[in-house]
Amino acid sequence: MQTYTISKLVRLLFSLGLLLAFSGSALAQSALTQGTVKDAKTGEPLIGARVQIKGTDKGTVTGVDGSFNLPVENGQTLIISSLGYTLREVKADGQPITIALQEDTKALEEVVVVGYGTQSQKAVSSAVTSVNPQELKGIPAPSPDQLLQGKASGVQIAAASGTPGGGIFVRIRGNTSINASNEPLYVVDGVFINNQSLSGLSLGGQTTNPLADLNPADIESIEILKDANATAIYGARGANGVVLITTKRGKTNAGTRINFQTYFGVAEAPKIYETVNAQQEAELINETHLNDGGSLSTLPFRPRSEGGLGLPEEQTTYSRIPDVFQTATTQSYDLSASGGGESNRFFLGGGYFKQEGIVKPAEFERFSGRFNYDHLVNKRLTIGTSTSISYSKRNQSRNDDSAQGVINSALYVPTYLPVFNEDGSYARHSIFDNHLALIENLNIQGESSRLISNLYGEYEILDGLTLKSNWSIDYNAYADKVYNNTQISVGLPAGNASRSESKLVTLINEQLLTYNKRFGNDHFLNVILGNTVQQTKYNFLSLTGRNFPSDNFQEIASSSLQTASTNSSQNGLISFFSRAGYTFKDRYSIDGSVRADASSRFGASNRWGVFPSLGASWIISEEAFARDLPFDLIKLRANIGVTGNQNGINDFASLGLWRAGRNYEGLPGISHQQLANPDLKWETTRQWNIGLDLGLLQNRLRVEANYYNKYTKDLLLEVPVAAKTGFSSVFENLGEISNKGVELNISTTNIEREDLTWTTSLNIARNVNKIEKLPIPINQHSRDWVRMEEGGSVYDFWVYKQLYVDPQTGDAVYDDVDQNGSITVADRQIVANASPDFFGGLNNTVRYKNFDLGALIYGEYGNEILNLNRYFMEHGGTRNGSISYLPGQLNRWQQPGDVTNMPRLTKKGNNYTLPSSRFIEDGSFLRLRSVTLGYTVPSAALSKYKISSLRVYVSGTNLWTLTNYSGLDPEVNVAGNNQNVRGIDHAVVPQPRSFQAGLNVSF
Amino acid sequence: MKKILTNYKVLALALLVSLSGCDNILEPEPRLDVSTAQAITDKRSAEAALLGAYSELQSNNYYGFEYPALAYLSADEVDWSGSYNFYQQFDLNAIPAENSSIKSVWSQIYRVINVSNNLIGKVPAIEDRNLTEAQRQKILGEAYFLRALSYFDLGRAWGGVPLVLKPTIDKNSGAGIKRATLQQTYEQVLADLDQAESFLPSLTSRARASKEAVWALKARLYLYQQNWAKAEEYSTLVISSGKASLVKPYSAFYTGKLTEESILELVYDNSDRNSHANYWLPSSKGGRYEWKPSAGIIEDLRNPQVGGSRGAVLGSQVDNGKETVYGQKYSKIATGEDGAFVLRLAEQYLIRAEARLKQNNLLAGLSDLNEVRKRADLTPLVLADLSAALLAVEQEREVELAFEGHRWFDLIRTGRAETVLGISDQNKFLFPIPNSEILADPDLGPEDQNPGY
Repeated sequence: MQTYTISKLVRLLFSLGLLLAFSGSALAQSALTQGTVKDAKTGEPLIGARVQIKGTDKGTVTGVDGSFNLPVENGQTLIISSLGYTLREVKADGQPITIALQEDTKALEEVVVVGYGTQSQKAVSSAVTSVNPQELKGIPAPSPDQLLQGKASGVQIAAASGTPGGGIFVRIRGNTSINASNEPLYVVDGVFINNQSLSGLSLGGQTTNPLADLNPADIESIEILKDANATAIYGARGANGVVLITTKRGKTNAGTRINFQTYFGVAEAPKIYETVNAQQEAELINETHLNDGGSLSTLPFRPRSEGGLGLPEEQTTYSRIPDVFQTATTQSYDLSASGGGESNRFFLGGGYFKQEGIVKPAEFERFSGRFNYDHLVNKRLTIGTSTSISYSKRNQSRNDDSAQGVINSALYVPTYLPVFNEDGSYARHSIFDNHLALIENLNIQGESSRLISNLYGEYEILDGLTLKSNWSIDYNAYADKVYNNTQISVGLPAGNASRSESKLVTLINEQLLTYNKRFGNDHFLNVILGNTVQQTKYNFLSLTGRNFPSDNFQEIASSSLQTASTNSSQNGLISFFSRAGYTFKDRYSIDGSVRADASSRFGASNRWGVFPSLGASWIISEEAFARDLPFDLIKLRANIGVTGNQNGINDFASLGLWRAGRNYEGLPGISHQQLANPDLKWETTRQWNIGLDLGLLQNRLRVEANYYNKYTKDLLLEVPVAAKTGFSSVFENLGEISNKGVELNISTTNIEREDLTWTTSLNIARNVNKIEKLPIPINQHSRDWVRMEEGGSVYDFWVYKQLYVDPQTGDAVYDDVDQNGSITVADRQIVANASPDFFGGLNNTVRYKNFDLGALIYGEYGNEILNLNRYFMEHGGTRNGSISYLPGQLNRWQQPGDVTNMPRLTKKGNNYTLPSSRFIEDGSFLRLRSVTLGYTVPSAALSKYKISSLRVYVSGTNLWTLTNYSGLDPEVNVAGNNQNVRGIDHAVVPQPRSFQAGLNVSF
Repeated sequence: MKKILTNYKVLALALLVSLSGCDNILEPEPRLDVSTAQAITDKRSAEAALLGAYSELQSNNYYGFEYPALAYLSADEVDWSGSYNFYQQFDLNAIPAENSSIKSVWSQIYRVINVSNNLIGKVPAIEDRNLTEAQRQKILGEAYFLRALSYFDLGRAWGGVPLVLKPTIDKNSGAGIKRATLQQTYEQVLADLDQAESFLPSLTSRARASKEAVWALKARLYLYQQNWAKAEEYSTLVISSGKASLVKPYSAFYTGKLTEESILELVYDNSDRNSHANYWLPSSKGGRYEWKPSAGIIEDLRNPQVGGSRGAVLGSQVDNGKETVYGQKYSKIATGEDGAFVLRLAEQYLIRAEARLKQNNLLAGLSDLNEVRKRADLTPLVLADLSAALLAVEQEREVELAFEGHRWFDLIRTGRAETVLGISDQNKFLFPIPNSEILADPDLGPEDQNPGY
């Protein structure tokens, strides 16, 4: 577990003092030995480390680049020390030397970032995972959430597709809700930020990820708060966990340090689709015809002279699929300056990121800037800001569940049909567009403008008592700009364009009183008290234009039929919260918190929710009786708390409403919209967590284990009501869901030598989700592939279970659950689930001299995937002539005695028309997510160029995947826009395999 | 001490600043909606709700395209050629109870019913001096008509259905209302039509319900009930009202808008679009070609003795030597202005033709049939045999009313579905009650499902 160290600052100040003290004597010497001191873990130069000749009082301290010059005679021993690091002795031999110091973890007063402050590592009773930003490098992902995959136990992260800037699935300890949000709360430098896609476009279920507005290079640390004691301070929004993102700040009295980092990468699809060839397709079509009783004389593929389409062997295969894939580039540049004087510190950074999709024509581009500044007005008052601005641009395309999708238009079209018409124009077939026309003419732009800013003043009222006031904004404007010309079917017959602009603005004001005090040696008290007022406003504007004079005009003003619409909504939250912690003798700690939230989304009777938590920890290894045990650390933690959830439901979910815009004849109409439920209230999640932390072998082996038990009741559920009422559902607090699980983190330092270190960390988690109560089953996705029902879990697949294919008739035999002799909806059953039984990551880091090698393996086990590509393309003849076949169709039953699971080709009966278990596959996978090899150029070689550090690296992502899944990629989800659907593959862009080369240089 | 006091003042001030304006924050007003209590309170809001009822009627899930589509896919006019196999299931006459279109159409029809129920329940009590008695009656008349049409469409497709006649107030509204029989359902339709007939004035707008529309629907209802005399009586009222005429050429009624042919036509415009064409047109015309005219109807429509000028509803294109035939009764994909032809005059002639033939009035029956043929540029049929004449009416309905969603119900009511469509399982003549309703409605158990599902 990487921690945030307060003492770094102290160390720096102390060392700078030494620098001044020693500088005079150092200058007086003549024969110099050169050297550099650096951090063994990060390779960063250590400023202000003390270098002393053993047995003398002669010495110096290292400069800003970690280097020192000291007159030393050969054979003399140097003692190198720095606060917070283990002291080392090195014999001088006249050569320049580089000394790496190990962090002395025991000596530090480690603190952990938690909600609204920090807590001493020793006193923490919660399950908090910190992610080292160093570990986030090497993966060319635009958004920080995607980089966390495999890094934190119990946090399941998966991209919905390989489209850059696309939606990411993030779950902390399972799904707690069905209709309200399951997404964690994201807090960047104290600002609650939006993570809901604002794009109004329907692109086959794809979404955009608002967190891609954040530049990962700005991030100093990420903490993931998982259990109730950690998240109850976030009250009504804490039930799904909290991700705290802290960005980089400068250091006082540190001079100015310029850092430049860049990488360039190329990516490709590890695998592309294959279909049958034209001859095979023609044979399958003919076979269907004959199986269904068609006569030979009307065979579709019979000689042209007989009026047919030609014999199967005369068909030409038209290849389309390779056309839509490309080798895609990624480029990233970040330039920052950081530092500070006596009374201020700053971080100023700018970044540019551009990534192409491996499926044309997708592209993501981001310009970002950050300014973090703190000014010490006087001894007691500090003011400052954390501000980031960004502008992201997406070039999007339809994919996934869309007939106008780029992949779909290449994959589904029968292979015997030509790409071009005889006159050279694009040929379109059945419901699909021409894939080349799409690639060349698609014009779907998304533009996100984001300002996340916070201004604060912090005043120390008394020693240990500070008041902080924060004023924050998350300004998120998203524009969709679409122009469809007449080359693509959605633009027919005369072109159309649309523009929509969504604006979500959150304003937050927060007051925070913090009191930290140590009484004597044994008592430490930590109290915070605060309130926040938050208001979120949403505004939407859309314009469309149809009928353009020609394809040369694209602006809506050029069209003859124009429509416009606006919409707006708002919500507010007022909260009071407090947390208190008490530690006795640095080994017994208790802490508790409470938050009261009032939400505008609920009626006056249930407006306020109160969310308490309580935790305790005991460091057993500090006890006298444990001194002889072979443990450096034994710590027991336990806590329990209640959190809430109100996100994801509409702002007026409790009201009975009639909606306007239901117009007729160009006149304004209204009709009923929503049933009232004045009793609507929060979802509440009760969670308890017990944990054990162990350290062995001088803490070279560390183990952190957690067991948690979450129980969510009063689900904000859209309960289906009888349609005879005119309504389809009403929001009610009904239903209960539980999540129970274990998380295990093991980190080891396998080798720790002067020039070779090897560390390993393994995290693995299991979550068991159960829908404990649900009044009626709820189906999801087209054809009801997914069902939630009492006793089941979220992401259950609901299908007709195919038992076998009758070798005599070739017909599929389905499980007749009610044994009534016919296959009806009563025979549908839950046969599989898209959630993994286990998932986790294995991270290895090896440093040898100046080389570093890191590898991350990520895996999921026991998750199932519904392969809809097979459902549509092993259609058994039901879609002949409009959709081609996957090669799996060739295994169909052909004659009595054939044993196969692929039924006889026929358009009739239910061989191929039912949602069958045949299309569900094991989606377990193990993947080499990333490998990075870096080289840090010795600082001695750099100093003459005024470079303080330089690292170059190459990395690869997704180089190897072990899976039985037959599709392109096991990490897929077609319906990113529906949180209750997961693990469905349908023309989804696969995760790319990529190679990067980069450098990181500081001046 | 003084300093500490000052500091507390700072704190108090900060709290004060942050808490002022809390009421605004916690009590925002919806901007897109009004509360149910404000919905129908005066003349303007009642008229808006009536327009809302038409808007629900013209929804994609009802007359926009899905209700007629389920019928024409189920019959032999149209073949499925797309990717949505929930439509294919109608083409195959193998509809599982969880079919999503079954659910969306059922639910949408009840939306029209609930808005109508609100109007019927609330408009009589409105106190607004701007609302004249004639206006009040017209609103009520239209609401009764829309409810009648809705229950008629439910009845012919599903059989008897739950008859909800009061506005929904909360989720328990309608509790205890079980499935009625088809006869009770049609009785309710008739009762509502009687009310509508007494309230509604004569036709002034073809886009809105009128006395003539009531008569036309009554004629159809009586035809379905095989009450030939009444069917003849009401179709005669429509025909002789002079409010509608058969337009020429045939294609004029669907290429135009609110032509003389229509008795009730739902209209669309650029901002309130009909997407029916999207399902018919091939991708080269901007559609998804989800379905296409069947080989049988292509043959009939192209037969100069049968289709006549009605062949115009077929479009055709040839790519790489392969002909694609598509339906173009709904083709205004650019503007979205294709109409929904709920009631039009040609059907009234064919209703009367059938009713007269059933009453052994061969000559008068043939005369009505030939009115329709004449408009399609066909020569009059001369037949001596009643049953042959009835078959001629059946075929005339096929080509004249093609793709308007009549044939499926026609073949079932005439008992000809098994012969013509080859469906031996009579259970298939009714759609399944949506499985979701069996689950969500405490008044519907598995035993209430139509047999065979």
